[in-house]
Amino acid sequence: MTAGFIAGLGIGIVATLLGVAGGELFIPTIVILYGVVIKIAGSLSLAVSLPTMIVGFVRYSKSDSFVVIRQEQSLFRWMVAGSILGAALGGMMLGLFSIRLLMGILGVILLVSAVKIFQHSR
Amino acid sequence: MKPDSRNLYGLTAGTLIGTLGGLIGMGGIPPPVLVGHFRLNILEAVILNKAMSLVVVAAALVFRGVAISPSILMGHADVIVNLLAGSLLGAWWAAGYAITMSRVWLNRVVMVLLVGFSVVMLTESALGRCTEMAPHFSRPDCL
Repeated sequence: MTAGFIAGLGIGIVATLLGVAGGELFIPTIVILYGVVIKIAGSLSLAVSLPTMIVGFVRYSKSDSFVVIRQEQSLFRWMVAGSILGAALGGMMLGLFSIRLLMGILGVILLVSAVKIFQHSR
Repeated sequence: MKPDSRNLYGLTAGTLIGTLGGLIGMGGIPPPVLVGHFRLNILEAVILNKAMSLVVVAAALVFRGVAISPSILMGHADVIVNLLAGSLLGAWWAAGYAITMSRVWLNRVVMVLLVGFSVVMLTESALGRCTEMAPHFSRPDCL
C-alpha cells in the first residue's frame, strides 16, 4: 500500500515535470510491485495515466504557451488522426503478441528512452 | 518543411506512437523529437506533446478493451486506486511547482530508473517465466 502510494507520487511528479505520460515508469512498476502480467499492466498504467495527465493538463492550461495548439491546428489534427489509427492497430494486434515478446519490446524501448535522456541532458 | 510533408510526418509519427500505445500501453513521444522535426520551441513541444498523449492514452485504453476487458481491470481496481492516490497528488504539486526544479538531476534519476527497469524486463523476457495469462490474472512466480 505505502510502496504503491510512494511509487505513484514519484511517477506523477516526474511525468508532469518532464511532460510524458508516465507509462514507461508505470508499466514496469506495476509488473514488479504487484506481479501483474504486462498485458494487464499496460491497461492499468493507462487507467492511472489518464486522470494524472488531466490534472497536470488543467493546471498547465493557464500557461500562455497553450495557444500553440490553436496555431498548430492542422499538424495537431493529423497527429491525432494518426494516433487513433495506431491505437486501433496496436490494440487489435495485442492478442497476437506473447507476453515474453512484449516484455522484450518494452525493455528495448526503456533502454532507448534512457539513451535519449542521456544525450538530451548533456 | 512544407505544410503537406509536415502534416504527413505528423500523421506517420502519430500512427507509430498510437501503435505503441495500443500494443504496450505507453502514451508519448519525447518532446525533443517534436522540437527537431517541427521547429517548435521546447515549451510548445511539451504542451503539444501533452495534448497528444492525452489522445493516445484515451484511444489506447478503448482499443485495448478488446483484449483486456474492463472487468479484468476492475479486478485490479486496488492497484489503480493505490497508484492514482499518489500520482494525482504528485501531478498536482508538480504542475504548480513546475519549472524551478533542476531538470538535470531529474533526468539522471529517470535515466537510472529506466535502465534498471529495462534490465528487469529484458531478463524476464529472456527467462520466459511469465508466458501465459494466469487464471487469476496475476502470478506470484512472475517476478
